Amino acid sequence: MKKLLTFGTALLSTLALVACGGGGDAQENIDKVKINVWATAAEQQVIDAVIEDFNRKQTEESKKFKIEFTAVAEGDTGTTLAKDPTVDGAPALFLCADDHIPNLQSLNIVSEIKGARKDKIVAENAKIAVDSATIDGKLYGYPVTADNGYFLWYNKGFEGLESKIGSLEDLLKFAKDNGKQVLMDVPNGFYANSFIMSPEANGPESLLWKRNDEDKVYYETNWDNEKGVEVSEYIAELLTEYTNSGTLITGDNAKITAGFENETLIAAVSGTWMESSLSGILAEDLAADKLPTFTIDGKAYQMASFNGSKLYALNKTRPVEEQKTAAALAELLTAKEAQLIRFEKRQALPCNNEAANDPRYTEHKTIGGAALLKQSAYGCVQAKVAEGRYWDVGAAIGQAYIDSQLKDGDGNPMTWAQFLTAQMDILRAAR
Amino acid sequence: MKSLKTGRIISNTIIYVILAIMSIVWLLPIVWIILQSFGGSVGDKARLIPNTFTFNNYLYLFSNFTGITHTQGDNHSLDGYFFGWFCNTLIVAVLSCLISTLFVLGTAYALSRFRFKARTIFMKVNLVIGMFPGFLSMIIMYWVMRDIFHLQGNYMSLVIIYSAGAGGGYYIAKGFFDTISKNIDEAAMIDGASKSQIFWQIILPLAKPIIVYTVLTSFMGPWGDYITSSYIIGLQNTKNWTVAIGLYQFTTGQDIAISYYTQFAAGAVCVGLPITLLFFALQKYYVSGVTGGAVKG
Repeated sequence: MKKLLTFGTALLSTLALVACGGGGDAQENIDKVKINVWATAAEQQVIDAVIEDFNRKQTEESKKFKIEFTAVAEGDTGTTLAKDPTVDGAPALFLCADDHIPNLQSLNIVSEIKGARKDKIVAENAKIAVDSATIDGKLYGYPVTADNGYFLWYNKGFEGLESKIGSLEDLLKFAKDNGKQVLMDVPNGFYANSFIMSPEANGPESLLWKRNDEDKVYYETNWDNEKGVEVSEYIAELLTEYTNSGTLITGDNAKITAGFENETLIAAVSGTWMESSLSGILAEDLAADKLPTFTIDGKAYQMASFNGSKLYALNKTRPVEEQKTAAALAELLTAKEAQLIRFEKRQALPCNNEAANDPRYTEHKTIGGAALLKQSAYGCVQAKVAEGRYWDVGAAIGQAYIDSQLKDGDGNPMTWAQFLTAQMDILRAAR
Repeated sequence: MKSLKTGRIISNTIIYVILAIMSIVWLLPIVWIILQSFGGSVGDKARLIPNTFTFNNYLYLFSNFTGITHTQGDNHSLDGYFFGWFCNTLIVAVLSCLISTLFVLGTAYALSRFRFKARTIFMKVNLVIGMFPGFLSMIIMYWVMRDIFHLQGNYMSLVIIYSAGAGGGYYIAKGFFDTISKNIDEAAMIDGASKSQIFWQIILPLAKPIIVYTVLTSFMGPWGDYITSSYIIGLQNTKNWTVAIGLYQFTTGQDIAISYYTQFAAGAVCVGLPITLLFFALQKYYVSGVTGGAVKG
């Protein structure tokens, strides 16, 4: 009897899962239950618009979406749910930044997306967005927007600058000659990788982290190889020279805003989050482009970047009925039409391929968005390469680029090969 | 004689210079935050005196009444909440303050005046428990509030947490009560007063300085606490936040931290006001005489 019961339960749960991963038009047919949704405040207008449009077309009350919306920032949904996924008012569907997915997956809080739904997402969305939601070949989120990453902001009203932004050397020299500054927060792991991870050097895949049989994290990163050392030596010399002359500066967002405001800054490496404050300062003169290249022995190296996305994910601890409704809603909210509405209402860049080529986007795309898209070809998914301990290593390497001399812990001079090996050993150790 | 005078002048000068430097170090952050709270641009974050001055940061905090909303960016997620947070915090702090003060004074009085079984053991155990940092109980508090009281996400749960264990901090009050002569109690008892009457009508009026001290500390604790309020209330319940969570989000929240700096400064000044007012109101009792001369003749 007990065996039969176990078999029955197993069969039922399989059926439930199959239903969960069902076909593309599931949102029309399934009966919906009321669900909680957590997303950033600005997303509410998108959800309202999409749901209102959908519900209007439904004749039966049971097929309509009914949700309770709670405003929680994208960076906070993941951490809040990781603490307690069953908290009062816990969502069935939530919007989060892709770097939370690995943690939520390891805590068994997010549902995997399988079958036809998965195939549809993979086929319809930008690769970098799908990659950011995938762990070990399994998909855990519905890509909403690929908006994280950095590129070059500059003041195109500054005479002669526009022709120099293609090359790092030209840009720095031009700034120095004109007594102006360029900002890049090099001693920050988020930006420090930009040189070694150039596709012409070690490449965007060089920082992928893996898990061994004991479930410990390790890297196979070999930035201490010939290429890495060559690039580092060159970059350290270049950046130190311009840091010492006061041309290259480091700092946070506020420093970028202040620099453009008092006209000391002509270019800065940052992301789309600066667009609203910078356009308020530079207005028509605000421009952005992919990062510049640097040249070693006549060969051009394109600077790389980290990229990331925002996703809708399902809370695995909610009842199956709620998860089914949530999956249907997530599909609707990440479809082409919703992504275009999201772009119109909150300037979020679409990652759905059709939406990205739709005139409703292409004719109105933002300055930062266009540059980000251009730069993303040379980027890698941040959530997959930058696990916890990378940040200190990245920061150390970045700091070394702008320090005049490379020293070990005891203050003895060391070579770049030795320094990089020491840093890589920290990453390569399984922990 | 002359050299003695010169020596004093020199030493006084040195002392005053040191004191002046120390007071600048101490006052600078306060002056800075007050000046920034009138700042017109986030870009002036790193300057002591902002380029432009405006009163809009304060008006923004009370945007429910003034209608001033945030101008930079399209993220208005925290518009119109501050006044609510301020009221929540005020309710939590005032209630906790009243209940805690009663608990502390009651415990201190009982331990000072009565001799009962396990009194010393109680004091010793309390001393040991007091040595564990409060945040060790964080997780258990969360589950107790969530699953037993069903108050998770509600700021009233903070009142329970802050005041329930307050009696444990009776030491200073007990020390004070110990200095009040027992002869007063005995005299009152001869006149027919009960223990309760002695506490309310005789001891408390003599203990104003310690009441003031207890009120101030038990108000300031909940007023500025971030850790407990953030994990009990949670980031998803924006309207139930206390000012500590709200101001923290102004400076660290995603898409928010970039442009909310001046509003944060204004909020910080607003948070400082009630404590300052409370202190001014209670200050004179701080200094007033204690029990000297209460029993004479």
